[in-house]
Amino acid sequence: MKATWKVMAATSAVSLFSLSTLAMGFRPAAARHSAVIHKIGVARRPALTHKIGGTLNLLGGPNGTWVDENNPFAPGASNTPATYIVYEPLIQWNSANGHYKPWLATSWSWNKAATVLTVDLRPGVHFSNGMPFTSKDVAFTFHMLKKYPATDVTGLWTYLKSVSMAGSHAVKFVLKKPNAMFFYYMAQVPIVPASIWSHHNPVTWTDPHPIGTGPFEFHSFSPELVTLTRNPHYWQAPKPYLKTLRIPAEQSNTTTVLALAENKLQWSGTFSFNLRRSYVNRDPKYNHVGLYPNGLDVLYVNLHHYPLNLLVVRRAISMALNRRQITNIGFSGYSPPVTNLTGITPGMAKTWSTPTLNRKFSARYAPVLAKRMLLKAGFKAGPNGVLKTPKGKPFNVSIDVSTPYTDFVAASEQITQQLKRIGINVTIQSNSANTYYHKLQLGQFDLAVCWAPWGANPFFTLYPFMSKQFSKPMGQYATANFERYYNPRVESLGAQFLATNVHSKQVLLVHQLASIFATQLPVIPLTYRNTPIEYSTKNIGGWPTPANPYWNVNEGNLPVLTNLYYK
Amino acid sequence: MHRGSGLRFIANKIGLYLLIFWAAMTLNFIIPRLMPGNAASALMAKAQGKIPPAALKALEAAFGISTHQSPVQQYFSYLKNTLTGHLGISFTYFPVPVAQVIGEMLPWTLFLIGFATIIAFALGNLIGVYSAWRRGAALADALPVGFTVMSAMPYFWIALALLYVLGFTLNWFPIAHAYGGGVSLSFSLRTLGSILYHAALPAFSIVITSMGGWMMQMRNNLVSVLADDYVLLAQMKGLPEREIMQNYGARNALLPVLTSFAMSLGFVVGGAVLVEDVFNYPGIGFALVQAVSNSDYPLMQGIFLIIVSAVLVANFIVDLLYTFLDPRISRT
Repeated sequence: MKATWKVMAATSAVSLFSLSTLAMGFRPAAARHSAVIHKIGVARRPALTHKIGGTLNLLGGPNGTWVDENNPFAPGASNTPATYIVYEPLIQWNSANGHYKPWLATSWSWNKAATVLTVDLRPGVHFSNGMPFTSKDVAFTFHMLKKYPATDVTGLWTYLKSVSMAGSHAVKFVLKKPNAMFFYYMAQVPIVPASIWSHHNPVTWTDPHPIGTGPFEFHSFSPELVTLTRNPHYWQAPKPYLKTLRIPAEQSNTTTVLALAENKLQWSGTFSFNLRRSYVNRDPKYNHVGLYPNGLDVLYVNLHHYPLNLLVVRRAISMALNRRQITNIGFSGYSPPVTNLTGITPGMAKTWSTPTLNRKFSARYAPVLAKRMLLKAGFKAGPNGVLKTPKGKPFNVSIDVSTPYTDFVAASEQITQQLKRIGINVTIQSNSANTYYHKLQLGQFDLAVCWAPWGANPFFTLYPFMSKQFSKPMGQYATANFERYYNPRVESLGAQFLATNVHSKQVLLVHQLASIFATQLPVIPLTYRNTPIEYSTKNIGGWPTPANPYWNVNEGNLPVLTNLYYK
Repeated sequence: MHRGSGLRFIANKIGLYLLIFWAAMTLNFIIPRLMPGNAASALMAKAQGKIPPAALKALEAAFGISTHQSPVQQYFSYLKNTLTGHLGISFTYFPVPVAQVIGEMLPWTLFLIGFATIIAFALGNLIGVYSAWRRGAALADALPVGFTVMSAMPYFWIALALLYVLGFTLNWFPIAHAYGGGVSLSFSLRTLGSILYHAALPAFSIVITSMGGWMMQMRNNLVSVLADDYVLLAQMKGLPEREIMQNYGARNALLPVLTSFAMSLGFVVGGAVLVEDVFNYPGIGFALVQAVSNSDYPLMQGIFLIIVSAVLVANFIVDLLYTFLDPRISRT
């Protein structure tokens, strides 16, 4: 029931996507983001030879005792972290440099109409039981998602018409119509062996002894500890260098941070306030905390509730927020304040935004001006410093928080105080995580701090925030557009974006969407969300560092696990 | 005549317990459904944006949330499934069956909390008897005060202090897990040793914090029993002190204590969330918290079913014991 439970959720089964065991990443100094699908060969680096051996103890975050369940398609939060080490995807999105990284696939190409995607598979890859990896396995995996809709968590078959083998090592995906989000989700589907999975129901099978192509093989299970050992026939041989991975069970973030401090864990993504004191200072030479970008934190504003539906009110709220203070007190300094209201993160800004846009929509802190704006719009001074709305009622709103998310609670307390200063009376409503999210989905809230949808480019954030595709009438389950924003212009820009694969066109469309977002403020951006990651360099080397940010582990941990070595 | 009334007493009791069991089962069905939220939103909340928005549909399909069964139909199929031993599939640990989740966690809870409860009960009562019998002596009067203070302090605080001093600073005891990392679960002395070593600190923390309650209850009962006329008579008859204390005092004072002992043995299966949390010990308490926060009805119902059954069975056994310890009860 700690804030950590958020990070631990990274082990959730449903997240075939960025759901690495260790929700990690880092801040790319000058990351390039691009949705252009490149045809990249295998990146061959000069073979660095590290000795083979050593043990790494790792844990994404406390998740309680393990149950022996490694089915990456079963919806639930119970998978052992072994799942995403044993099973590998075709392609990985690397937000650290803005490129897709070939993995089980070596290259891919689209037809001119952007409806047919041909993916070439890596030859010579084997599952850990010795069976060769071929297009049969890939086609089988995608057909399984069609046969069992409960496993198709990204809704791939809403875009797909067919998937077929094109020889032993190529697969052809045919789309109903062009879709610019398809590739990102398709790339991350874990590929399972047809020879084994054709005998099971992927919704209900627990997959107790997973067989995949990954760098480590499932070795042993107990509720307290999951162990993996090096796959000696891995396709990236001599990688991986480590001999053993141990994933212990932890119940709370207190015990996890204790285990880190004692070097019983060398890698974790546990959220805790002031990790510098509880972790880094215990052994400053070797203990590190990396901050890895993971989108945005925003303030949701219910657009069906008066007077929050007035644009001037949302603008005033945005100007009344001291985001620096929210960062320092609410987010323990991990997530920096947004510098502009476009919803485009710094890592993506170079490709997807312009300095003009950033400047035009810069986030201002001007509480006095904010209050003056409200007074000018017909709000009146009232008793106890609380404004009266033009309809004559006191300006009272509530902000919903989820008690386990301690960072959101602290941030909401800051927001409450800051809004009080301009005459908005905010009361905090505490909920369980479940109730909190439930209220957001149904639209039963005034204000709420929450994370943002996130993907390979700003469209994955802006479109779900503003499109009716992600909304529902009040009282029904919306998926991302909880504030219930509707704008026909967004729908038309979104449709144009989805229909094109041309990068320059996409960039211009994102500029327009970002302008609408920043002017209309359907939600109010607060901070660039960072995940703190703890790692020890005492015995293990090869980590992504600020100097060598080769991978953002928020997108999966395989590229790091294959790179780590025992010193 | 005597025997017949005893049997009728037991039959009545069984009827009553079946009724209570049905009522508990029904509440078990209703209460979780009154909570806001459902398993799919809980999972989305837990993943914090790691699950793409489109997943909601797939989740609802898998969990059967958009089911077309009416609540009444759901209730009867729930009753039927539970009585036939089908506890369903957990949402939190999907697709692991509830029975497997409980089977994995329950042994640790039974072992740690069960033993600690029995030790605390035994020690608490012995000290209670001692301090009642020897009241006036310095030690006998100091013990109740000491243990009352101990049980009045928040468990969380004492456990963390023990963990920090004895575990983290002095390194005398392991700070987490039920057995050592290098040990595989098998029947060997090494495994057993490791399990006992890891259980020592959490068990100790439970014993010292829960002993006070038992001690005070026993002491108070005994003091009032010892003031009864028949004890005075026994003393006047010149019976040995030991016999008076055991047969006249403690045996009668034990009766009410047994009821609470049965209750607490029944609740052992509910686990102890705080113990598991502080000492990172596996157990059913964590699963229960997960189930509640995730709207995981099947798991919640499974665990509550076990708790209800255990409490009822324990109480039933105590009822039987009562008729044995105090034959007057079955005659009324």
